Amino acid sequence: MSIQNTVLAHVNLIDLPGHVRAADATQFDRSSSKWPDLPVRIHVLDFKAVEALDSAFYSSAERFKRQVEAKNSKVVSINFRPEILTQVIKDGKEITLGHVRNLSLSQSVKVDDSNEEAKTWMIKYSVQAARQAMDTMFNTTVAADENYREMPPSLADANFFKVATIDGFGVKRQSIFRLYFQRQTLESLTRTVLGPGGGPIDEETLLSIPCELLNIIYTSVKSRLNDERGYDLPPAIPKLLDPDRAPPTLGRGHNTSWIPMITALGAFYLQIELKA
Amino acid sequence: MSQNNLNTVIIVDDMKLARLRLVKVCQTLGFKSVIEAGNGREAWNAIASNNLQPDLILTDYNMPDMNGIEFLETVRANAMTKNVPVMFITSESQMDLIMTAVTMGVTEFVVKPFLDDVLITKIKNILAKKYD
Repeated sequence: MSIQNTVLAHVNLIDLPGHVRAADATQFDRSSSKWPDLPVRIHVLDFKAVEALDSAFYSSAERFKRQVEAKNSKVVSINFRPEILTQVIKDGKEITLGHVRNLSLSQSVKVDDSNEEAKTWMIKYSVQAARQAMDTMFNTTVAADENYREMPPSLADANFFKVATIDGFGVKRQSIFRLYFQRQTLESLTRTVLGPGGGPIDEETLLSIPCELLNIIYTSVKSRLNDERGYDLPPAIPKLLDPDRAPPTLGRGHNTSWIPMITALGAFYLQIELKA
Repeated sequence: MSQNNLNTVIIVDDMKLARLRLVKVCQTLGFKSVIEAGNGREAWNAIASNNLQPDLILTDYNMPDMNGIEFLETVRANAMTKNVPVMFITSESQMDLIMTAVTMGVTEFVVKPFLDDVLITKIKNILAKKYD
């Protein structure tokens, strides 16, 4: 088996063969010359099949690491057999290969954002995620003002139908993300999903839209801020509520922000609340 | 077995909207049987109770009861299913999770929201590696 790579999301996964010989190091040099330009955040050398490792590979790995780091990405190595790991440590190359024992890579980034800065990042990334989701899933664009902070006055009496809510409570940051929908908007979105001739509106599909959209928005925000700024927002599953169980909040000062999302299929409203 | 003779795909997601899109994609690809499950436990129960050897599993990560990582671990630990291609389709893009999925043997990782055409190409590539 030769050296092969697969790009999974933001990861370039490089499978090494059972016996990494000097000739494989040469093949690695050839194959890896294009990898630093891949749109990934990390390159992973997977040693799970490796039973024998020629020391010529260290120089190749070191060159590759320099090229990758010049592109602001990184190289890590995983899945060593105990005897191979012992050899690598004995050769003093554990750091060269970027061996990771703990997969909590995001903890290496620490940015001490204030609550106001955190909220700005959350709004920015939420709007980006909402735009991408609406474009991809419903073929419609979103107009959203990232600088909008107050609850739109017209919403105080709005007849909301459903609210999707997520509690993103980490140790350092505590946030609540909510999406408010009127029924008319959900019906338009459901019709778009079902397509022409899709039959009557399926209530289960209609009711899954708020949670799926909020899931995409929150999880995108969480993943990016945890990776890029060292936040500790947890994975969370959205809940669907009637609006009387999660009434729109007004007058909580600067801790609550509203972002109206306007589309050709109707509007919906994102509320982000940060706990002090 | 070839790509022209696809039998079973299992779709695991707690959101009906997400399952609906994946079912459409899998029907386009010609799977004869599309089994839906709302979480990993439901999916595993369907596999175990029917001795299923699906051609492909598409799973979300963040689900109640049994999440995608726990489900992947179960699939890989069972002799009957350990070689079944498992594709994560999730809004999670945090490096820790991707790395965990990679070390546990995930076959492909797609971040939501996705374009149907992109997903179809990735599934075809997986099946080509498996059957061609």
